Amino acid sequence: MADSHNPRDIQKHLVRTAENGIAPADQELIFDPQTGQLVVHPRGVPQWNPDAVVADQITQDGFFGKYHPL
Amino acid sequence: MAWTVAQQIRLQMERGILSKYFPAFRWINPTNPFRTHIEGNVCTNPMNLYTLRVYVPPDFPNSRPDMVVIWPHPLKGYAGRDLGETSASMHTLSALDGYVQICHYKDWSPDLTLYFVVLKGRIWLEAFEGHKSTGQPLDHYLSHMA
Repeated sequence: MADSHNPRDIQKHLVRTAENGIAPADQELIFDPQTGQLVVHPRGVPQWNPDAVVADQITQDGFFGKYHPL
Repeated sequence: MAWTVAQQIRLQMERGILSKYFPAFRWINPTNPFRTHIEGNVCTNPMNLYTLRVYVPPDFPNSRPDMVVIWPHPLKGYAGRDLGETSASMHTLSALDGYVQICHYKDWSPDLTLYFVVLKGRIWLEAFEGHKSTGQPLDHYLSHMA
């Protein structure tokens, strides 16, 4: 599997993470600060950019949307 | 009122981090604790441009910063859906200053940075792209915090 910037692949990764509560075992979501793009990257393969950030923990942690302050 | 010395040191660190990861972001009213905010453009993978604004609270880093999407305005979802209201499924709070407010962190910690907030906004926008194309709510793409 190669890196993918395709929006549908990014969305699939997000859905898989949301459904399972954890990022897929075979790939990780990367934020590339040079391009501002999200990339689905094969897990375990060295990254091309040392400044790229693995964003899976943020998506696994979730978003505050279930409880709201009065 | 001005930022305390400790806050100034913290904000300088925040500037450095943001300039590295989101260099398009700029600081507005940086010396006024009641008016400071950051805003900048982000481009999603489908190459759509949005502008995020994060309000830095006067007691930062002790309170959660609020984040809104200021462009496009008004921000419309699938089939022109209005997003200005509180919605758990869309991970939004009620509009702030007339803008769609993204619900990012539930429990704020001073260890969290503005960079994390903006990155959450970037990811929310990518999920929003999925919503626009499929009609699925944001929580189809982004789970809720426990």
